[in-house]
Amino acid sequence: MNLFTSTLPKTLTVTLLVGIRASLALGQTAPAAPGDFVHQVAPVLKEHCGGCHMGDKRKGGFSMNTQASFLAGGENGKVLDAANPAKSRLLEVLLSADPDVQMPPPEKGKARPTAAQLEPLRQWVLAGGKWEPGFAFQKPSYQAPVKPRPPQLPAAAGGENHPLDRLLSVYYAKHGLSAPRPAPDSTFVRRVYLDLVGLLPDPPEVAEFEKDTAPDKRERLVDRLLSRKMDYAEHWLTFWNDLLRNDYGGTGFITGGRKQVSAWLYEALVSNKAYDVMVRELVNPSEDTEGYAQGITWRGTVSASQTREVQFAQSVSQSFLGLNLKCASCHDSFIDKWKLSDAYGLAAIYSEKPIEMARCEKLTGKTAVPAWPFPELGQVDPAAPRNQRLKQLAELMTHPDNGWFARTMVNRLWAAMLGRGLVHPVDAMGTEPWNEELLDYLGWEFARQRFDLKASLRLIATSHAYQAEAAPRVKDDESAPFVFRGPRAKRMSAEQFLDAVWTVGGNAPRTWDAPVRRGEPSAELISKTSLTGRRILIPAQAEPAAPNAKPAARVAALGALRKVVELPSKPVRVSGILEEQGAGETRLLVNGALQPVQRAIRRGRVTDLQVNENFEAGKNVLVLVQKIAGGKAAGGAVFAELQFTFRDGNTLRVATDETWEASVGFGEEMVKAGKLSLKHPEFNNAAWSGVGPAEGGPVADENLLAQFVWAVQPRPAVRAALVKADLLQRTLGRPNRDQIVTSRPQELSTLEALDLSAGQRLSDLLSAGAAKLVKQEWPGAPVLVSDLFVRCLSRQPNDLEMESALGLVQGGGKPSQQAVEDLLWTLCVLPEFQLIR
Amino acid sequence: MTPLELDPSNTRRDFLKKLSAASLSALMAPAPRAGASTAKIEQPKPTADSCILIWMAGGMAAPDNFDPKRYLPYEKGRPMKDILSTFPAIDTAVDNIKICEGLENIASVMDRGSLIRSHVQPDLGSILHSRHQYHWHTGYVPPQTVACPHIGAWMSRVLGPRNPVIPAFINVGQRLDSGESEEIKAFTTAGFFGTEYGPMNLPFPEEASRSVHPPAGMEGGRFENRYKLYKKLVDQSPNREFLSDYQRESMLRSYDNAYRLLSSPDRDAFDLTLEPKESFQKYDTGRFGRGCLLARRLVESGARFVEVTTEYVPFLHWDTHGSGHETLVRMHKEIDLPIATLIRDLEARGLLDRTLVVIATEFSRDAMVEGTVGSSAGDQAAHKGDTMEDPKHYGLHRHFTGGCSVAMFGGGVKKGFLYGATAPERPCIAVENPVSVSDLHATIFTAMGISPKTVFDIENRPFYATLDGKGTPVQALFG
Repeated sequence: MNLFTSTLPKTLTVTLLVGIRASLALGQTAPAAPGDFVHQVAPVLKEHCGGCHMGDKRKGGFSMNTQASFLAGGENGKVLDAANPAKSRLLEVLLSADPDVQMPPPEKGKARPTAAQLEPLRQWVLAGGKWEPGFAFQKPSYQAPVKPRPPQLPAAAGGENHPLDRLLSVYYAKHGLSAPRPAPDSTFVRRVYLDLVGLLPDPPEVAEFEKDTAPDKRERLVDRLLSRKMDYAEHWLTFWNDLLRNDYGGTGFITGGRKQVSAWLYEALVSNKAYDVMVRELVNPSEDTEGYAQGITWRGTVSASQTREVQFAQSVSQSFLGLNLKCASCHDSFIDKWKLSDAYGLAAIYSEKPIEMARCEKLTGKTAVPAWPFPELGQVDPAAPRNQRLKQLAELMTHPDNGWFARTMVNRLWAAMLGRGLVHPVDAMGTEPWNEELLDYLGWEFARQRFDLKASLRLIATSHAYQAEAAPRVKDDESAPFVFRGPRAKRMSAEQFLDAVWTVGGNAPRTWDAPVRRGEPSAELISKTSLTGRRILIPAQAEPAAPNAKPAARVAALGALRKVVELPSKPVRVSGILEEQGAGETRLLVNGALQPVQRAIRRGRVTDLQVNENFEAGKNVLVLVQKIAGGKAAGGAVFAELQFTFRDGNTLRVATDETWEASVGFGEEMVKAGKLSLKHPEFNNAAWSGVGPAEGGPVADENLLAQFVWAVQPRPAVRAALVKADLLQRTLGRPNRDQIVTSRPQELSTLEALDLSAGQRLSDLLSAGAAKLVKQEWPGAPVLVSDLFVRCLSRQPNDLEMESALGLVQGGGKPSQQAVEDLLWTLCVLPEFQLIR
Repeated sequence: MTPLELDPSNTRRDFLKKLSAASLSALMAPAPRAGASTAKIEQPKPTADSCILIWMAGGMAAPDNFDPKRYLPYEKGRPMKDILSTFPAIDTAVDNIKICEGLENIASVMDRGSLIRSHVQPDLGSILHSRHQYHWHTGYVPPQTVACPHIGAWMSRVLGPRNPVIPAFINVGQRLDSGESEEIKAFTTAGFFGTEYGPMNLPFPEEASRSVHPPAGMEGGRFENRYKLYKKLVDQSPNREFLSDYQRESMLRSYDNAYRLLSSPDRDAFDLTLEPKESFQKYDTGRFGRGCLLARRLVESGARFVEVTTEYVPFLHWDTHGSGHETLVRMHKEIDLPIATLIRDLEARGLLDRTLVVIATEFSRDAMVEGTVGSSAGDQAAHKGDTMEDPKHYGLHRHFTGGCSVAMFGGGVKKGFLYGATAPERPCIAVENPVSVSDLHATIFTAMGISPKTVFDIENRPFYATLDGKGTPVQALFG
């Protein structure tokens, strides 16, 4: 008795009393007859079974909370035998003397029910085990609806026309709150940029927004940001990569046990593909999307709960339904209603062949029946072939009647924008939301708008609720029921932080790892452009000097091509393409320096070239040199075309043609030592001969032309979401995407702070950024300080801040690079910078 | 999320009491929760305050190190199956313990510790270093549905730092940006505990001091001035309404902690140049040896858990798929004196009694058997012939999971004690007192005062320090 009342919420006790009172009212007066449920059975069950089978406890999958759950039994079957009550399991376990059978289990060390307690209970079971109607040990807990619920919008009042604010005004009134105040423009502009496109606003964008006096300026800004397709895609990529556990490298890739969906995902985000379409393509996958459903395949044996099929069940239910079937992958869940058969049902839909269910690694002998967990919406045909089953699952999952599906995603979006979900945590969608009507409305509207993700984000971002001042958090606010008082500040993700630092310093990397094409070639430009080069032959590696020479000697002579280019000034941008047809990989060197190559976006055999730093005014040398691949560098036709852009806007094209020269005789060590440049006599004195075109005439290939135009178009800076996680990103919380991750750490740890304070990586980034900044002309140190404040914090410094900052940067008149670097660091580690408020 | 205050003895009942006022939703929080067991967990009385894990990454062959078998020298044409050990046995300071030639210094300190010869690993069907290393470091076979914490993170989470400025979990010698780096990163982490409990990674011991010093160019008060400006700007921020924000406060606290370490005299522990030359030389056999020195210095300054590794790089160091014998001659030179010196130094400083030093590896090796007897694992030896035709064929080139050695020194472990045995002839499987990864972890955790049943809730499921809370410490090892 003590255990029970001390551990369960008060409502239970109240419910019990209510049940008893109700029974008294029905006229069942004392003394109780043997087998009286209310007086002789329920108290015994509560005392001796409640610790494990009531409230949120369902040991062995068995809960006595309600008559229905009592009759349903648990993993070992029903507890009452209607046909032969004397054989009921309930009696067996209560009466047994066998410690392996008896309940409560002897190791609990609790008193056994006395004979005086057991006898009426036995009588009750023999009489059929009737419950008091309406009685429950625990009031049924919140049952999240599956179907959509049509929202009832309250009348607009108090100037709130936005549907979300109309719903919230009822909420505020109910909780005796007033609507949170709107956030100042400077706060809003920074927040909405970071939330929708993941970037800090440029200072002119902040100034322009603040100057704008139109009442709809916030709405227009939201629209403007959502229309920045590429910025939007490259920010939300992080959210989706986490949700779909997609990455560009990592566990599983090494043995081919994992496949990316990056290219598909990127296109989906750029084109704002409808969410239901996305999910159908992931659940019933094609070659482009199968990586998600396949999960991670490890070499060797894995536990039964980590087979490919069970991973599918866990992933699909978590990503799209916000359900955790991880418990139910091993046994009937102790904490919610999901059963082993639910997890295996989903797994069996995906499985190529019948699968036997395993309970905690032990095979049960039962074959899983393909099924999904919401039969009220329809069911997969277990007899259908696999591709049909997957199609059916995809249809059921995304059906407009599946309100759960829509609510799960809008809740994620709300959480991403306002810092905490309407249902929290976001993967516990069975939990009661703090505002059911608001969630219903968002889900309903999402489905009505044909699962348009941007429309949903727009709906949220244009509400006063989103645009309000952030509500500070107090430490223990998770232990009290959540009350919405305004958006919560969010910690910048690792990607947002790096993007911000790169933006401020202007030093984002030049290449990226995600196998995606950024931007589209302009049709107009294509029609106005033609290629000028020809394909020429790069010589194969020289034959080894002696048949049994050491490997080093065998590869000592790589084929190379060169071209000396005279430039009027240092170019501001050099880009182009490289196509290769022979065996082996061709590399580009500029004045001896090996150029980074965007391997990830090679299409066929065409590589995008983005070259920048190594050209100078005057003579430069371009070298194409092969690399040993598969044991050889076999030569073959290559085509390269580069476009140089100069400060004055003039351009120059350099392409492979018959004016290039060929040579054989450069070892890999010369390439690595940077000796393939005009400065080195070995290079100049090598035997160079003219090359003939491999094919007659300039290259006229539409595909190549499109790729060339695409490569030479100016492109926005590379974003952190597109590169593999480095240690700094990891430090800042970018997860190892072995598992689905739906929330990032919100607090900064000491080790992270240590890395940001002492780590060379951030220090180098800031130093390079500061070097660029001090090269600009500044009318005075205060202007520089103001500019950095606006860049980093989207606001002007106040007088005190200006004075403090000047104290550091103005030591000897003109701000030094070092001082600017220190100011940058200071601004970037301020909570105001790292929190999106 | 605010994790509940940690009290590892929390029971399920206490947990529910604390939660009774909490929102139901908090149950699913991605934060660890203490308590999920029906029984009261008694934390054992620790016999060690610090732990140094000497990690022989890549599979250290027991018969060529701590468990010598029949030795035969290289001879062209000799049948491979005749080879059990490629090093002869030598005496140690303990009568009934012999180990392999090349480990003379370690042999001289064997009377300070215990040797387990019966550590066994699961076969896992295909022997991947990263997978077995993940298992060994977390106690869980990957893949798992949650990111599992490294045992160092468990110590950090449950015990915390011994000295507030020295991070509780320090990982020395392993680069995380090369080789199978993604696979290594997957277990070199605090997993769901969060980065606060994760490793401070120091891949190059000689550069460790850089990690606790301001970045290059921060001399002459610049670092202090930068921090002063930061503090000023924090104070002068116009966002008054945000001053009490929990997230903001926690961020400020973390920076203060970091600054404290970066300006504390304790950071000298990271600086190997401060070690007297004579002492430094005893450790200076390479990166690993210097890592042992760093571990000693860190433990002296109050580190909780330090892992020092010979570094895992596929096919390097202990990962011998060819030229095994030749490679091990070099490896012995690299590890022998530093490990022995570490034990002696700890002893001389009176620290060995409270510092548990564990020498371990993900599995053993054999000249013939891949995995274990009857395994379906693919053969990964470079040379598959029946006879040795070249000195590079001489060595134990296959992964063996049936019997492996672990040495433990100090921290309450018996001195000069031998536990378990492997068969004298192939297959040299553990034939006496097999010790699983769970049981070995239970032993290490118990010495550190952490019950193997210690449990946290993640996604409302219990997650135990050892698999299902069932790891059992090898009591025979404790005196």
